[in-house]
Amino acid sequence: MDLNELNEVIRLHALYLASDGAEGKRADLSGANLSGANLSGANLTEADLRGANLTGADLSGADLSGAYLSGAYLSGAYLSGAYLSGVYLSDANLRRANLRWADLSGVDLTGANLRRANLRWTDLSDADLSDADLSDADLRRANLTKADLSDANLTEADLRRANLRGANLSGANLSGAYLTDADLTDADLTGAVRS
Amino acid sequence: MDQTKLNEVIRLHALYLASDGAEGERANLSGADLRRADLFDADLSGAIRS
Repeated sequence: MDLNELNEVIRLHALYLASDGAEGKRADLSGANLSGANLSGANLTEADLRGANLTGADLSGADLSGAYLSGAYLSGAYLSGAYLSGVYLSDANLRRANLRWADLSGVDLTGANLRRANLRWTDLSDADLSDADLSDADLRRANLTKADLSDANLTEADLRRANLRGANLSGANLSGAYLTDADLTDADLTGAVRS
Repeated sequence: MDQTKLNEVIRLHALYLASDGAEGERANLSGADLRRADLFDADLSGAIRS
């Protein structure tokens, strides 16, 4: 997809949103190749981006509320400051993505690849991270209150000063994870691996 | 202000700084008792303090 086509899709999507669906067209960017695209500040609310290639894309300040990004490729993407409430990120590839300070509370991240992702200070309260790969991720000071981390891979993850109150860590792999000053009050550690 | 609330204020302030005010919220810590607060890794430059 070239830049003109992409701009037209975004223009029609904005019209679609502004008219409650009477005009324009909801963005269908499923499977599109948008690697390295500059989408900062774009309004992609409820857009279909399933399986899209957004590797290295700049999504700072973009509105992705309710957008469908399941299975999307977002490795190295810049998402810090994006609006992400109700976004669907199950099985998304977010390897090395920058999500620092972002609000991902309550978001579906089941099975997502978050290896080496920057999740420092990120709000992940009530997020579903079951079966997610968070190995080597930077989760310092992250808010993981009541997050579902069951069977997640947290090998070598940096969880120093993270808030894990009431989190579900059953079956999670915490081998080599840094937990200094992490708050594990009321966390469920049944079957968690810590070697 | 408890630590959880304070962390949220710090997170939003960081977004405010990073986006030149377009997002997040400038921290207002006037009157806040921060004697026992954990401010490690917090950037509160430009926060309202009095």
